[in-house]
Amino acid sequence: MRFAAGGRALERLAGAGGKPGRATRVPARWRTVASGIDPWSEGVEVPDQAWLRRPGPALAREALQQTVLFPVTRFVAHPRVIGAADLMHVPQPAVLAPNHASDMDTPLVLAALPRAWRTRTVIGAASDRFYRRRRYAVAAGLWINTVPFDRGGESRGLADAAELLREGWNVLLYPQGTRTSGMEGFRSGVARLCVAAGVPLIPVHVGGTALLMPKGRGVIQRGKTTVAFGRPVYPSPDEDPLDLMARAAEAVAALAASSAR
Amino acid sequence: MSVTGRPAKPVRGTVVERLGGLARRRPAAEREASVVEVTDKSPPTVFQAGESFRLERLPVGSRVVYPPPPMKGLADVESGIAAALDAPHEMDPLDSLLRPGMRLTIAFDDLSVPLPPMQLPDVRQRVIEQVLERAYRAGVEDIHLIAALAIHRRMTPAELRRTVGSAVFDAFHPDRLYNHDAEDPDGNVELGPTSDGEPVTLNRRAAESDLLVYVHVITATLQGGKKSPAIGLGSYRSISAHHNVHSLRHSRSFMDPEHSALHHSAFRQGDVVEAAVPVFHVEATLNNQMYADPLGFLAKPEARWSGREQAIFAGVKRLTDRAPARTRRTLFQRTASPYGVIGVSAGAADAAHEVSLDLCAAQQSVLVRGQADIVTAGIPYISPYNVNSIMNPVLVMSTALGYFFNLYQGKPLVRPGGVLIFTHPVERDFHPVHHPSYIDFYEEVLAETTDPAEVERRFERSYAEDEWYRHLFRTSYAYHGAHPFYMWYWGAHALEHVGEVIFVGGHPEACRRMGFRRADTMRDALEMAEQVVGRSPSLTHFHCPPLFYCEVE
Repeated sequence: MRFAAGGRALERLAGAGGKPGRATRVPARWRTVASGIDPWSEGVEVPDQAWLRRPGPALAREALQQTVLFPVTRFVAHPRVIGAADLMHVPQPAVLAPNHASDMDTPLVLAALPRAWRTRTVIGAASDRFYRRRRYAVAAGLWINTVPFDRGGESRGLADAAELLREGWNVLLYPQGTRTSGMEGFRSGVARLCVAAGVPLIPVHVGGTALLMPKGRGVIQRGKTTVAFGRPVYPSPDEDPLDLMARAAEAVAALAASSAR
Repeated sequence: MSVTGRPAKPVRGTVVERLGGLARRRPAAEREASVVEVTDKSPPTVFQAGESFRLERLPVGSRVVYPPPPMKGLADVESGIAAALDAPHEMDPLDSLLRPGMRLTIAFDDLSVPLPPMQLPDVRQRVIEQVLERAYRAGVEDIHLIAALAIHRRMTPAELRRTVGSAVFDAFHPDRLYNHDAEDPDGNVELGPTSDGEPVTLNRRAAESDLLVYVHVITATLQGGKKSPAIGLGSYRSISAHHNVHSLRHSRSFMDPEHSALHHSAFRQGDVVEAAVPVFHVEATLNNQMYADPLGFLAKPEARWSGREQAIFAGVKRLTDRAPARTRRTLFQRTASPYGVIGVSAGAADAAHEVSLDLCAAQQSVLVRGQADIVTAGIPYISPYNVNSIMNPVLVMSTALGYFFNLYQGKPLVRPGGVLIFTHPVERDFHPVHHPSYIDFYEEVLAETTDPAEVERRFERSYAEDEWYRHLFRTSYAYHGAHPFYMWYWGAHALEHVGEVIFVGGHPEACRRMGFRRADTMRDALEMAEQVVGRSPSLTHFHCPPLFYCEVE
């Protein structure tokens, strides 16, 4: 179909330019938050920015976190931390598995971790969300030390995470896969990783963040939150990942119940 | 009944004489300039989309049908009304019908016409003031004024004041100026069935009057005539005789009374009413000057806009794009149109209405040769049922498929199995006071089925007889429980005729629930339409509002 092409000045003046008004404007690129195989994502996403884990950038990250990220997080979320000191008795590397309700969970957990853990911890970040552009990837890596985690092809993401564990990094992965209200939807991928790599799984519960920064919104209010670390769950050599995950989910639920008291 | 294009019956009266025999011509055929073909160099076309505007590029070779420019209004409306009352059609002058001691009732159309509301003074006020003056002069004391609502919502005191003017309102409200109550068991009388067995109910006060003066406002060929008292002062039972799926599917179209089953049925009821009570009709026909300056250019072809007009449009569009929805709605609902009165006719129903139909044809008809595979149109922010209210999805459907689709005489503008593309946000937003039954209709009925016949069979009665809706209708400002059903039936003919309906920019959930498709852009919609009607389809854009209709050959 050939379309009329006159009246460009009117279109520019009226701010149309082929785009309708704000209410019905089509986004330049659709936001991808769902998991699943994305046939168009091959080769589009930005690769892991490994250089950000070197000593120089790590120092810059520590400075940024201590001067900006953590003060702001504590100001907004007033976290009450439970069980962080006990982590000193847990062998590293390990997999940290918190529940996930808000984007604020990651800075809260990082702020709550002892320094010996925090500087050795990477965050598995959805590659379809944080690694769409190089500048997002660098920003995320610089602030919270992320590595891309491919939610679409889960085995590929887990293999990358296992590699990092072998290198001695703790990996923080959200077993629910995406921000979810409640304790449902724990997937077995994290447990498979622990069984395969032979590392402990540390259940973590973050409470109260969904009210401060719900999914799809910015910070809407200040409030009180809790970050509770549980006892590590050790995988038996031939344990079914589903069983391990069930134990971990129970542990997180128990933390939720105890931290609510 | 005479409509343009057919040999007209001889009509007499000052208005037609003043028009110099215009009614005998066929104005639609002289409107070639109203149909414009899109070329490579054509500017984008303006589409209304609720309370905002869209600029869309149409395919080269499409036709755009523009409304005819507004006719000049009468220079002296008061004299026009006086002349009509003094020299009515096929009736004695009003003065000679008035006598001391008589019961006089003046009924008038409610706020559903004209759209948008007209700038003050309202023509109903002007007519009513002159009728009252004559009544006082003749010594008539028992006078009631009734807003002929049918089963629409009651008008608020402020709306009544706006319609009849402060002087009349202060003198008559509330005891002698009030809303018709279609559900009042004591306030209505049965006048017996028509020759075809349709029940006829009329407001008791009107039925027991010595003379009923009915003041019509005509902006479309749908309105006016002897059906108005039977509908406006009727009850749910009498109105449901023609507001049903069968009648509305056989009304081809509502804008062509001669071929409308709805009109035939309502006219039969009108005959019963006229036999029971003498009715003196006063019909004031308005031109289509919907936009006040400086926005008058919106009715013109975009290619004819001056630089200043383009700048004004750009400002308005940017404003409406950015303003919050509530502000936009308030702004739009506050606008009033500077309509001109192009004619006033009075007297017996058929003769007076014939003049109005001729005037409507002179103002609104445009000849279009051939149907189109795809017809596009922008749905505005207002319909007859959301004045000072919210255009909910069901009203969007009735405006698009009921009103816009039916703005034709002869054949529909879109071919059978063709595609209708509309622009409207179709937001799931309801006025909780005005449209309570609409909310339940949307949530309960449309979740089950969208087939008008099934909707009618399974659900209408329970909504119409619901005590809570009846209570809200009678005491609050709610539309009747059955009203959303009529809105759905209003589109029954279109639903049967077209192959697909697409809303550009429509809310996905609302469109899905009503059985329509939606697209983000006009180009997407055209691609979707091509899958239905085939490659290289013919496209006609119906550039309404302002209101007009097509005579399709």
